[in-house]
Amino acid sequence: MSFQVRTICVYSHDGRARSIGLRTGELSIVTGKSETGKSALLSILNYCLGSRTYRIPIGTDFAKCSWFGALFVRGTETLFVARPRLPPGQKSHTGVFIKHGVQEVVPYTELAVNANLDTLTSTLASLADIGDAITQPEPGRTTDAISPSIRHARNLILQPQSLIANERQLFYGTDDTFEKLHMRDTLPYFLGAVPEDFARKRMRLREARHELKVLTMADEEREATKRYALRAAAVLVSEARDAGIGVDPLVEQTLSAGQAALRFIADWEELETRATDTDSDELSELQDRFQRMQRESGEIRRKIDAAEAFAVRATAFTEEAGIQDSRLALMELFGDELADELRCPLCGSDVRAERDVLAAVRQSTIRLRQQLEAVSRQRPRLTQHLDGLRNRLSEVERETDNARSAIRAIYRAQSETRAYQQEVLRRAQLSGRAIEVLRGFGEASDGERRDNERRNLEREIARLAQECDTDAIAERMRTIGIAISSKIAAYARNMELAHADSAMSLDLTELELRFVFGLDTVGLERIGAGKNWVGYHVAALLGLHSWLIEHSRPVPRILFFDQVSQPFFSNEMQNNPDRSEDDLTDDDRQQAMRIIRQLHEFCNEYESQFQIILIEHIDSDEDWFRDSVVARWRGSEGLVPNDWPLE
Amino acid sequence: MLSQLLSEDDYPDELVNLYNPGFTGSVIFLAGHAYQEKAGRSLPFVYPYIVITLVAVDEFRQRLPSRVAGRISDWVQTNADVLIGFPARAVALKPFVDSGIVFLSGKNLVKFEQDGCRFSNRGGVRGRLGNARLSSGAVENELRCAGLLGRWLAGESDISSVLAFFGIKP
Repeated sequence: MSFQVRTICVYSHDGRARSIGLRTGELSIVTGKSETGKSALLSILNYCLGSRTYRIPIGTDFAKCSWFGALFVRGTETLFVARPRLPPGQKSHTGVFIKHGVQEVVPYTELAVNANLDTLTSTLASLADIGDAITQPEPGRTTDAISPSIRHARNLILQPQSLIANERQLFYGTDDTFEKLHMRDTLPYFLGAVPEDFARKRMRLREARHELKVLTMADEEREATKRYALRAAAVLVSEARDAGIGVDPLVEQTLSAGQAALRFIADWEELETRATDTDSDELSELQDRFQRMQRESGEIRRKIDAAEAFAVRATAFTEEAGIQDSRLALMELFGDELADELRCPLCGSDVRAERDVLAAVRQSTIRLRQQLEAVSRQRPRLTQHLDGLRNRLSEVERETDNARSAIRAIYRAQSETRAYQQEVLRRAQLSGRAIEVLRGFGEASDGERRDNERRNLEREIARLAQECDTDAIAERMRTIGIAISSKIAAYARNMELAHADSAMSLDLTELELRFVFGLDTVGLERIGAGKNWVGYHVAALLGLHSWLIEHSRPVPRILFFDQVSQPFFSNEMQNNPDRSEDDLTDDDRQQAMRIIRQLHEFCNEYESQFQIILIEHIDSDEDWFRDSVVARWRGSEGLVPNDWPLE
Repeated sequence: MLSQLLSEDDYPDELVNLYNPGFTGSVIFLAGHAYQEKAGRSLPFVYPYIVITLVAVDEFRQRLPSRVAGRISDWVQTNADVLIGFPARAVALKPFVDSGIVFLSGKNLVKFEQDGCRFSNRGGVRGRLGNARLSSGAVENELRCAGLLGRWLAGESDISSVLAFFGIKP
């Protein structure tokens, strides 16, 4: 069960409301002369059904309006929707007033925007029972998936003047390419050719296929991991054996053998961490002592060098003095006797002064010998001093050697400790790597779980593929098309339309009626005459809605036709606002009335389940017609009262 | 003469000690005796200057042969590099040689004759010098060199040639 419209209303700027009550479950006719606002009713309904585009006429009458409203009903459930009039130039407005549970038109004073267009759309979708399905565009199409909404349902219920006798367009809005595509996408949903969750199943199918692909890739990766893990295990075992870990060589290239070897390496107890035997204080003390000894050794060497240099000088002096002494001693060998006169043997001159030389030599000899004696006395002390220094030097050098040896021993010990610790580290690293590779084995060995997952996915894909079989859907759509087409043909015959006996079908892909003539199929435009076109529009819409009603599909139970009699008037009368049924020929009037009666009968056929609103020029005294008229605007009467003030 | 040198205030004791008349006299005396014995004639006046220079200067003495062999001219030619400064050294040592000769004269151990110096062995001085045990072996070697030079020079008959070898102009 879907909703119908009970009232369409307009509000003045000064707070007055004008309501047009409509008969739910029946035909409602609004008749009257042109330019009384009849056609605006369709625009107002469209606006209140959530149209983004504001299509209400801009004439003076509508400038007197401030809000437009509609009261929708579904059983005992009601929803009142009002939207503000937009000033000329503004084409859209998302502000909406909605109120649930009201039985009458809401007073003007209550009107205020309390929701947006999205809220209205979802509220109406809920009222119409439109689920949250998502369509799947046809393969090869680049449009995004869309959700069927009240906007798409709206196209199935409105037939404005410009459309009702259009030989090339059957449904509202489909003159727009995208709108037509959206209708093609959503029609299978509205007609029930696909389940509510079809689109979700299609998406799940695609996801499941992707998951299976990922799983397959993971399987290949797992195989690669296994090969890598076995290679890594072989390398690790080899390194571990080099590092002294007692693991057996990896002979068998199986996961279990590899795992066992790796666990052995991973669990290998680490060597006990060994601290350095000698602490750093001792080393520091030894280094201090070594440096002290070196300094003292250098000091002693300098003293020895100085003493030895002194000794060398003393020896040189002794030697030199010894030569002088020996040469002086030669004089003594000649005795003391000396001639009184001393003369130069060459020139014979007196050289008595040479005696002074001999005296001076004797004095010099005495001084020299005293110095020699002094040097001889110093020599033993110097030797003793040197011996003392040399002994101390030996001691210091011995201590230096000892300190050096001790330091080297500590360094050696430290070096051994470092090597030991490196060995510990190496084994720990090997253990860590073994754990890491074991993890790879883990990934490689959870194949059973993955096999189950794969089987489940494959089963799900098979089931979903069957459920989402597009061929099956296409087949269902063809079946629905045939059923609807037979209804259309029946209505056409009932309305005595031309070619009503021909085979015809509603093409749900191209959204047009096709007629079969021999081996040829033609569209509505080849049928000729607006009188037939309007008849087939009515037949097609009634055929479609009979299916929707009978199968409880989520489309409002409304059909809105604006002047089915329009093509029956001559061209000149079509533009005459005062035209009436009197301007029609009898045949035309009868045919027009047959169409209108069909609308009445359709409502009766479905016993209050369906509502048809008809805007008409013609009037009739027939009871059913008179009973159907909800408004008859003649004279100055119209949708908008004359006494309403302009803004 | 040495007496003149000593009159100079800053004359070093070491030179006096090293070239005292006792030493220079001993060298001249031993060379003169050796010359006289081998040549049978007096020691030419100029030879003491050559002998003292060759004995007292270390670098000359160290090149001397250990025994008399060959001609002095050959030796001079072989050691020309060392003997370049010989004349200057000989001139520098002249005061000490003079004092040595005066010393020997004062001891009546030398007489001056027409052709040269004639040495006597008065009081057995030669024996004392020849057997002297000195504290310095170097000095003993110098005395030995003095005798060697006396014998070597005795082999040369031409004094002018000898002077020419050593670059000395009379």
